[in-house]
Amino acid sequence: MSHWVPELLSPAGSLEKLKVSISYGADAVYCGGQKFGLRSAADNLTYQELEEGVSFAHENNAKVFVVLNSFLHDQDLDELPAFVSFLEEISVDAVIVSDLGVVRTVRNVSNIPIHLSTQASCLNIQSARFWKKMGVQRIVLGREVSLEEASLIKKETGLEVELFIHGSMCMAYSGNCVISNYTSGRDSNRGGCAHSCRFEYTLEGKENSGVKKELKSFFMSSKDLKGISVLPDFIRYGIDSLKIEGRMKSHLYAGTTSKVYSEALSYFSKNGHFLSEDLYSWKEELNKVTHREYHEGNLVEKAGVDSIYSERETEEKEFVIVGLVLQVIHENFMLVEVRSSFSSGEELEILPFEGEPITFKTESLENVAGEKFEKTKPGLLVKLPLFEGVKKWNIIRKRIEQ
Amino acid sequence: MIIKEAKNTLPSMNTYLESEDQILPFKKAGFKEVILEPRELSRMGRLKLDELIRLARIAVKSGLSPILSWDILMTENIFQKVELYLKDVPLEIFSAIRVQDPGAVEFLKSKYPDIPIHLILETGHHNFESISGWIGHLGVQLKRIVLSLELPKKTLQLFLSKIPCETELLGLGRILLFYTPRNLLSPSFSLKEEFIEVTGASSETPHKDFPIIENRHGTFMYHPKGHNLLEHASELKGMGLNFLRFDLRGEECIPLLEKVGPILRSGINLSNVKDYFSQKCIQGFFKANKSDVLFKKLKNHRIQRKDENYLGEVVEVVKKNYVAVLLKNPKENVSLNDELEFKTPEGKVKTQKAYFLRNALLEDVEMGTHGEVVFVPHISALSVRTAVYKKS
Ligand code: SF4
Repeated sequence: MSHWVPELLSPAGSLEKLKVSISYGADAVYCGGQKFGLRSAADNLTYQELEEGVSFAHENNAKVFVVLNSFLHDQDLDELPAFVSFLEEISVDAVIVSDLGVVRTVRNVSNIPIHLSTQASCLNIQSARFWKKMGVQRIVLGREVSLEEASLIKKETGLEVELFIHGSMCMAYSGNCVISNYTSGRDSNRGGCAHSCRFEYTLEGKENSGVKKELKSFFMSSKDLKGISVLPDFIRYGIDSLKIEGRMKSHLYAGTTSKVYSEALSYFSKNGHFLSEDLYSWKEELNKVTHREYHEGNLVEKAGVDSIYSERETEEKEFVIVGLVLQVIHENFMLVEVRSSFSSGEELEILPFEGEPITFKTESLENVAGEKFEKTKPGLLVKLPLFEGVKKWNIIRKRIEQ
Repeated sequence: MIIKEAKNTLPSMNTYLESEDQILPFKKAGFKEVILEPRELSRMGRLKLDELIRLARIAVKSGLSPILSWDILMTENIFQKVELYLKDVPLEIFSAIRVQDPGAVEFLKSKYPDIPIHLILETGHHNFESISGWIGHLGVQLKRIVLSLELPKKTLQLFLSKIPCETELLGLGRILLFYTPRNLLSPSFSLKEEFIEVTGASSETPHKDFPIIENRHGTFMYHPKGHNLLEHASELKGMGLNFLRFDLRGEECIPLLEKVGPILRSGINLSNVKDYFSQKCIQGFFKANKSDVLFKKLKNHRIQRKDENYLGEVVEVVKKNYVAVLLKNPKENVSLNDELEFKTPEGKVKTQKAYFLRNALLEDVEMGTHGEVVFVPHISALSVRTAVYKKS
């Protein structure tokens, strides 16, 4: 008997990352086209890449949600109907929208299911009811909403609910921060956030503040969310979809987070509990990707003082991606695109789509022309020995010397 | 001297009422409407329930129209507490309720359909389709729309000509930049009188002295400069704007009104009012909003895949030997002797004939298909991430 588990929704900042996330176990991915989304600096996908991404996803029983979650201005809306029609034509599974004008436009020109973006800061039952009337089928709830509240919203409205389970957190109520708009000339609600909340500030107290002296502080920076410890509660409360933040993040991040959460969910699906010896290793795996200090956000209780990341913006990482398997030449070798340098004799790990990482020591390093290298660098294609279970898009990583 | 009241050439004025002693100066200055902020419902609210009710009643007696501010955003738990609180508020004494959270709007629509709503659409709502969605949803209950400061004049003009209800815009006051429910100051500063106020500066931005406030609803950061559209007041009236809001909450309000009251009442030289305001002022995006033009620079469009004839991307260049190309287009194969075009990240365009075509075992092949890495003759000046096209 299998037990119900939520959908795992992973980020796809590019076509390659879409394939990585799905290959590592995501049930669905969210990605952006070249316009209308909130990550202007991400690669995002062209029309052709979107089409290919959807085919790849559907062949692998996964879904693709396309973000249209900017707060659009009138002139931006002009081009939207054609893009939405294209998305419908290629059978995108849903669009993620935050602006009422965009919701109405999508409804006018298509039958694509609409998910309300977290950017709309939907926080309560009444708000969800409003969006339901507007034609929304799923709500990506604000990050301020607890699991218990999310379950209540689902129960009272009959809407699907989605919550973030992992990744960076915006400190503000989403959609309610315009620091970048006024200080950097970049609209944070159209994808231009300059991360001003991560800066160090000198604070000076006024008379009523109890402290008159100056204080230097990263007082607005949020720790990252890690919800694996409360995964049983996500299931208990019937949250429909678990979202991993990070369209701007690396292949290693997309692959590792997708793998960890999907393995945890399939364990539950088979066993109906999380009393697994793997629990420790899942948590450890999540420490291996780039992150700020972790926290559980508002999932269980209101985020307090300990949710503030009071340090300079240096992200902790234990491992770095050194290569991506581009082709497996049967019984011969794997062709690896080098993403960061490694040397002959170094210990590397292949992250297979399922199961434990494969640790191996590199021996001679050479490209297909037979040129030998002591040390690789990005821009090289190297042949590495093949191991059982290795597949195209597998990530190869190495531990960073601390 | 009798100062004539400004007539019809300017939008009406409203402001926030914090204490009884402000009523007369507001009245004298020509304000028509006051916004009252209970501490349970309003972001900057300080009024306890009894103070709220008393002030609202005095405002009515003084001929000022009292508006109840309910502008906090609420998770479900807070919403439920607010619902209980609202049972004790005699809503009928207020001319309207100001709300931003769609949940609050929906609640009023279903539970209090006769109470006029002033809808705050200051966050987003930069396209008319979204505004007309609200107009259609609320019908006659929608008394007023508070428009976004990010709308440039041209757009404002268009929206104001189409909105069937009253409209409002911040005329003079602080610009809210950031609103979080988290308590960001109390870990370092002590909370007195329920409000902590500090200023913040960062070496990573040229702006200094951001006013920051923490209270029971979270933490709020404001722009170091205020927003001032007073010199455009009559122009805005001409476009159809009904109300200009004055946010004097960060000011020594009564002394300020002594100085600017006569100007406000007469409406003459209105732009001089900013000289008495404690913050220097900007006009924000009123002239133009170009906050999306920098986006094009955030990534290299040269290497972005253009769909027609696209083959893939260079993944390795071995001088005098080969260029390795990862074939990324399921609809396009590469064949021996195809003419190839390379577009480098730096913008150079090179062409080359695939007079040999090899697979990863360096065996000659006739064709390469999607997903494979193929090896074609080397040409100089290429680098990885160069986009490869089949020349038509
Ligand atoms: S600056 Fe920080 S709080 Fe503001 S939008 Fe960006 S991430 Fe969110």
